[in-house]
Amino acid sequence: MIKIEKFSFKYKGTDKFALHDVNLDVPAGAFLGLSGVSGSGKTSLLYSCCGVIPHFYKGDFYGSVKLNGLDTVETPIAELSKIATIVFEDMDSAFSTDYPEDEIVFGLRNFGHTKSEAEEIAAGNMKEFGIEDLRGKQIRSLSGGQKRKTALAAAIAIKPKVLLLDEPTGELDPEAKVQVFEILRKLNAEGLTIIISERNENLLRKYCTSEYTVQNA
Amino acid sequence: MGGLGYFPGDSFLHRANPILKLFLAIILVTAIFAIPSLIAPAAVLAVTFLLAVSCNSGKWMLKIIRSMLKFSLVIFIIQTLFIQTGDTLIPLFWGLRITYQGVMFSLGFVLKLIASALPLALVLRVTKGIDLADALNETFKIPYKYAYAVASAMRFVPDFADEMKDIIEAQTARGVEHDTKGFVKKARLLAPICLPLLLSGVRKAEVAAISAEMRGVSNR
Repeated sequence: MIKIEKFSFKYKGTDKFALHDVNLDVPAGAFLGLSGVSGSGKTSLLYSCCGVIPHFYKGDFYGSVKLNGLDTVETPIAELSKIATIVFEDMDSAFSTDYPEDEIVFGLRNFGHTKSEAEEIAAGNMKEFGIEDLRGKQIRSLSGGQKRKTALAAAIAIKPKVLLLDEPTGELDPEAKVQVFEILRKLNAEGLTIIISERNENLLRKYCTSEYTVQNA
Repeated sequence: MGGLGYFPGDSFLHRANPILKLFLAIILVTAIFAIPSLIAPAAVLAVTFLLAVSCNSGKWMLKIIRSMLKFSLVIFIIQTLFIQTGDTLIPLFWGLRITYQGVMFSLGFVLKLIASALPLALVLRVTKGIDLADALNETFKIPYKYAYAVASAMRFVPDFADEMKDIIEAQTARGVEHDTKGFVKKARLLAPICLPLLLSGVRKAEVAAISAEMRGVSNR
């Protein structure tokens, strides 16, 4: 599903490689956990897997990254977004709307669903993620766990083949962390390829089917 | 009650077509500038206020007007001092004077300024950004990406306010006295906050844009 060969990347305006000589093969249906110390390049690797690097963050790009056979440098981001999506660490900035139901509808409408179709799917999706009671509540007023579930529901609604998550449990309490990982395990069992960066190695060991330690430069 | 941006509700204005609301707001704003009389801005002000009351936003509108009055007063004073033609009402120092024409022009200017801002603020109050973007895209064929960018800009206003509050609280905890009434002193204290606030705003906008792109906004 994702094939990274001899990949190195240096952000524009920096001298140091954020990632150096990375080789990684992620098969379809994998649940890969990325571990590594702060600043090791976990986020950069996630960004590279879905084309955020180099489409949005410019720099020196060496080697190749292929997503479902598509070269991430040459393929437009609109095409890549049909295959992979990412849930950002900075959730508050990443939301595109003010309400959970709109957040789910937003992505669905972008992929060609009519408003009524999107609203129907969103209703089912919210029920599945146990967030139907959040309807009509402003996202900014939700707890960290509720925001995470909303972001996940919105990402999953567009049916990506690959889901990338950047430290999705950072500020959550232990119970909410487990809830998020349980949801991910269920999605993975349904065939979704997941790559997750997470500091808690115990969670990675418990839930992921494989692990990759990122060490930059 | 919130500041600028959407406030949920079920009034007829909330349910009305976003394009119709935008169109009405544009007509009201155009009328203010097209009719050369103080009656036009006063009438628009009254109509907009009544509409706001009808969707449970009367107090919000008074709050907006009150906050606009502060800088309108500064504009009124400067404008009055710049217009030195006409009958003298009050003679001042260095040959300056306050004239009847100056007062009337400045009053009209300030009234028009306030009245023209309110209809659009009310549209944003009763219309979700996502609905406005959809309507702009479907009716005027504005590329969705741009319609979405325009409609969602207001979402960041509360975030900015929160972030500014956080910075001020952090500085207050370290002994900076933000609780001052002096305008110059307040401005001097706020100036160093502007750059980090701007940088944080750019970073937030960048994440929001990438997130929207990764959920297919370019496919529309």
